[in-house]
Amino acid sequence: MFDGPLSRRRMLESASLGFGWLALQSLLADESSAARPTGGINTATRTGDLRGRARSVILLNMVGGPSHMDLFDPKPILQKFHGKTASGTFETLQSGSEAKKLVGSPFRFRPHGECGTEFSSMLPHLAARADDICLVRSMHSANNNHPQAQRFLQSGKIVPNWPSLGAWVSYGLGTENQNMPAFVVLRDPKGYTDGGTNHWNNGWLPAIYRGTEIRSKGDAVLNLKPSRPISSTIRRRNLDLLDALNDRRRQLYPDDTRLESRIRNYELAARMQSSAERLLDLDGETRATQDLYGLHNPITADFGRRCLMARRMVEHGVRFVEVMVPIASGSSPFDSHSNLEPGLKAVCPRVDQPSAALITDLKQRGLLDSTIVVWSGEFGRLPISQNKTGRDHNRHAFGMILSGGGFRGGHVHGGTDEIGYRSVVDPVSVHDYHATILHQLGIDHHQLQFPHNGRDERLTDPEVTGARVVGELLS
Amino acid sequence: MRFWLATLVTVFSAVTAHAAAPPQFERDVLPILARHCHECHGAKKPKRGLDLRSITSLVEGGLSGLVAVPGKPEQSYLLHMVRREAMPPRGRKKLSKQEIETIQSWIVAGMPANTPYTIPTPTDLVSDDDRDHWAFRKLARPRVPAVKMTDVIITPIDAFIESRLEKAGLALAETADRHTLHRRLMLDLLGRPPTPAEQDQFLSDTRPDAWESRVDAVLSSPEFGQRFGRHWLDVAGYADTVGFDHVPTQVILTEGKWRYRDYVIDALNSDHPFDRFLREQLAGDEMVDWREAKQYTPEMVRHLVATGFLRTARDQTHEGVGVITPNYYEVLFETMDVVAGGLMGLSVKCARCHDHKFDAIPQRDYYRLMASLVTSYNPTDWRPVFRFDNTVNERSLLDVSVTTKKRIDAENAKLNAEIAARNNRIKSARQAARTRVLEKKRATVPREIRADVVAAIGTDGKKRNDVQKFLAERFEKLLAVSDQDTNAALSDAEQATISTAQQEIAGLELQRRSYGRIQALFDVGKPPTTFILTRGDHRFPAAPVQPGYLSVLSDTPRDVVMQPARVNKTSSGRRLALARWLTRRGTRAGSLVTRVLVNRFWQAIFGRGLVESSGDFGIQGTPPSHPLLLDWLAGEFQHHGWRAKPLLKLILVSQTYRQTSRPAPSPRLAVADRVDPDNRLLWRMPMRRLESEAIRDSLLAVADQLDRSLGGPPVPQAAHSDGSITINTSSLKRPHDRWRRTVYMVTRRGYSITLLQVFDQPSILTTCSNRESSAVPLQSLTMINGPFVNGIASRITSQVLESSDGPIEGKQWEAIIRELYRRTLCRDPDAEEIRLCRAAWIDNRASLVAEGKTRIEADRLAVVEVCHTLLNTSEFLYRE
Repeated sequence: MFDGPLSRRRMLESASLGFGWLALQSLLADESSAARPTGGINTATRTGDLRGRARSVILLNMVGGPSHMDLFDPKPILQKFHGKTASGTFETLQSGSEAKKLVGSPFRFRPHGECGTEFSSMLPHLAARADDICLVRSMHSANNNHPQAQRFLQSGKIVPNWPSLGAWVSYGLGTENQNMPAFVVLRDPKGYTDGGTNHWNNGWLPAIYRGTEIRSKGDAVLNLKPSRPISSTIRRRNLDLLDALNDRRRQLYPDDTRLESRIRNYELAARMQSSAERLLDLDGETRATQDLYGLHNPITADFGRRCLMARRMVEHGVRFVEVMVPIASGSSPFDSHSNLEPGLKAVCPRVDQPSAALITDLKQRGLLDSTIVVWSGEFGRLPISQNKTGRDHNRHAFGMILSGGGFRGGHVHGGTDEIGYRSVVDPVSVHDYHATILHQLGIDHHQLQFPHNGRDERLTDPEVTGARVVGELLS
Repeated sequence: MRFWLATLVTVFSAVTAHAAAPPQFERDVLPILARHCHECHGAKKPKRGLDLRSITSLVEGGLSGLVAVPGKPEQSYLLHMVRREAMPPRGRKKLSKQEIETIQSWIVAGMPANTPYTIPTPTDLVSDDDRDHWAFRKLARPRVPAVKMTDVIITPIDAFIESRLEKAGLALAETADRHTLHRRLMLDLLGRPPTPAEQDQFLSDTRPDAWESRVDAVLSSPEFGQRFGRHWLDVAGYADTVGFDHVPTQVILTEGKWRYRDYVIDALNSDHPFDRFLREQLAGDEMVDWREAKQYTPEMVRHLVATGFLRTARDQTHEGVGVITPNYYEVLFETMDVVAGGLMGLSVKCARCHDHKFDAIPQRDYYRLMASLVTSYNPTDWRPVFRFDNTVNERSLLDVSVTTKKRIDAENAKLNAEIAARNNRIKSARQAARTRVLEKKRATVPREIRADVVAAIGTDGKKRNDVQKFLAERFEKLLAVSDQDTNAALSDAEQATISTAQQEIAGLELQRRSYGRIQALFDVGKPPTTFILTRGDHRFPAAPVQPGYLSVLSDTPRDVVMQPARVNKTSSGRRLALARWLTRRGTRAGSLVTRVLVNRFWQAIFGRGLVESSGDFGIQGTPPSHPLLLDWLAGEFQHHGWRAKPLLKLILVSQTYRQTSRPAPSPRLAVADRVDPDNRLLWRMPMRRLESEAIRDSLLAVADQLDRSLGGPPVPQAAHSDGSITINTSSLKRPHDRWRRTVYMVTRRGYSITLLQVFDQPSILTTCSNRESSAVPLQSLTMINGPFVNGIASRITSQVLESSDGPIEGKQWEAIIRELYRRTLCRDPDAEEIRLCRAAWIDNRASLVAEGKTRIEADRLAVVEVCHTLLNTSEFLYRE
């Protein structure tokens, strides 16, 4: 061995970086080192040797801040003192809550399933899956504005451009499908929610770990189809010519695998086109499945379609799927600053049945045990009324539905104070949530790290955040 | 180890009998201090913790540190303050010349006093071992090594490289083909391939110094600054936008921020010495006396613009709700990352909260360094980015002085009055014509009802009675006078009046002067005390610190203390002192900064630095592959007056740069594979993929479409609902702005146009030292399917086929394929490549004809396909 510096490869392999094997995968995707064995999407493929119980995650991201005390955290005391002025102070974002009038939920709660977990009448389909659901009622966030809190939920930081959970998971585990990216995003074709594409940012992780937007309408992936009319014969012929020309050039650099992987990328891009299109084609699903997701009901069709796509992706080895909430006239429908009751009555039917259908469907296919389904927003809402008919943001408490992937069905964890303002019983932080998800995927959150600007960064940064795996949530 | 231990060193005053006895504290100095200072620095609570009532309390110093050092007048803060008349404060009687001299000679004499006293000495926060880290050593001038194969040595660089190679049983490779070499040079220095004309010109230059003169010519192209400026903008973490910039469709810009980008490009093009370049960026505002200036000189404006380097942090205080203390500190912290990471190659982030775990950077040093920034990013007197309401002073400056602004405003007011007078002339001429038309029209109304009709139309629509409503309805249209009616009725004299007035207005408008803004950094308010922040939290200040430097880059603990530079009264001089410290030859700091700079140049040329971790020269970074070469280059750089171009030329004319990127012949390759598979020793030129900007610029260049103009506001972008981002073609100042070089696209933190984003355009947080270079299928999709590349292929085809508008006949196709190769890949195709392209072309043409295209259409489209395919080859994306 020469006495020069450690090569990047050897540095990454060395134990000082802890998770050397995983870090090596990033190297494989990085062209700056010339000699590499393979190319392709999230190049390292892993099947069969996962240490965790779960192998994939579907995050149903309910951007906007769903009102926990109106959906799955019953607070009878709010009904009792409805309209009374609360004592104490409340952290608000906007004005309109100064009167501090407590407001009871307009919806009825009742126990469901064998476990008897209480849900409101707004989520009847999810409630019917109560025995498959691990409900955390004691989540809390660090910021009570949407973009910051969403970034916190995704990346554990309120500042943008840090890698999101999905990016970390794809970095840690790669993909199982060489024809699809490891991290896929299914958003409302009508537009973005607060925070734009930052939700699925790779931050300073290599670009390959960024969430790829697969669209549920039109072309599945940006530039998947040629921007000019061109027959498939000519397309094929062009690829053949490209392959031949590249191959000739590559012979001048027989030892440089980058060129080979670039050649392969063109093939991969072509394969991705057909596989993305196949995943988009929901016609092959039985009528019963289509009805389960509500594809033939205009209210549920949009979100249902994306939930069903999510199942198909997971089935085909995609590691992390993020399904974004449907948007309503350009905003987040769960953001109930006013008109809470009509607002929830409009949005809940759009997402409830498809979300429950996803759990049911995964379970029927034997995939629920290896797939974690997360249903969550970025924060909860206040027990007092805003603008008479709404509720302002509340970072101190929110609820999260977890299902599958080894999470304990029929379980309720933690709780809020008697009016639902603060998580007080067994609080779970966003960092704890990250640590627990990674744990179920077989990743030690202490060890999943990536060097950035002189520091080994981790998703959970446990020494600073105190993140821990919440064992009580697991079966 | 690394905390402040107040160990004491005893200093006994040596009072010796002497003819002209030096001043003595109790007898000569104390009375002066009592007269001028004790009112504030002698009370129960001495101001700034400084008590001047006794020699023992005087030598303890105050919050600002030591105030007097025996025998060292230049390090004695007390003397500086009274000399500059900064103390006693305004309104108080200043010290007399005689009094100041007494204090000075007392300090020079070693501060004799009757009372024995001790001076507290700070314990060294770091060890000499820490200081001995390779990056922190003072530059030595290494000897150029001897090598066996002397004939391959063109410059000393080659000797350093070859000697390491020879030790490993390797050697420098043979020289690359001239066309490859020229394409390499153009891509590295200008970020685009040569045009066919440039390529021909170089290839036909047979003079022995053809290469050297070509290097000179390319270095002097203005495109050099556009390319290398972008490298420096990465270091600065430059973005055009304000705040976090997290909404795709919302781009918030501040006026004139781009001037910093242009300053950088200009500095590189004019080969501005880098020591000055750094000093201007850190303290340009303290190098020119703009505050007192009646009129700003271009030099002053340039210096103020340069401080944009310190304005790149994500400042959230552009709107009212963000104006909160934690955000002030985020700006300070991020700016620290840019200064330390960008200039010193040190990651200091950890030291915000605790002593750095790996590098010898104590938390105290972090805050000492930060004390240079708090006088301008002043948490006790914050200036938000924007003036969002009348109560705040925004951080930007006008680019003219107050005096000039007043004069321009007055001149413009005068202009406005003159223009208004001419507008009135136009108005009355038109009014006269209009009245005549109206009279004529009214005359057509029967006289009996004429007055009633006029009254009805003159009455407000809602107040008309029934008769008036009827009349108005019947006659309003008839009596309406349009602008065209008026124009037609203008008399020759009126016409002349109007056109004279209009010409005069146009002339006056030319005299109108305006002023813009500079996003500068400058000291504001009273310098606040800087405290060490427990866990980096501003709510928990611990010990106060004085402005200073990093211990590990200072020879002794005394050298850590900053003596602020003497500048105008309103500025603290701290940043200028810091800037000088960083660029001083023969010091640890100056040596480190030079190594970091030189390494960045090397990285810009070879794709990888001699120190691979170009942003981390600390313990955790990678040690240099060629430590002697790095130091030799650093010395050479200083020797050439910190100029980039001579250094780059030295590299570019070397055999090391000229060698081929192809693998070595087999016996040597086997050795290379065994001892140096990563090519750290440079047994061949590393091949590298173009950065995102170079890919876009190259595509435009090969289509002869690249707009190479310099400077100006950024080209806007548009985010579309399908997730793509493009140039916003509907809001361009000039139509061809869409073809400007990428450095002039609006630079956003996380949203770049799609082509750039898929090719690893970085997210801009703070400083960025290395670009990613990934290979993902989205790149292939964008290149093969995206409309942009398709348009390029189509345009090249039009240019190539320009001369022939008929079907492509006989041997013509070969010339076309050759021309496509020359334009896109800067070389001639070989026979096999021609055969392959021709076969595809013929087949595609047949398919197109079968699809119903005419022969001429099919000919053209089949050429587009070949051209598009060539743009998709790996060869196009790589610099060999």
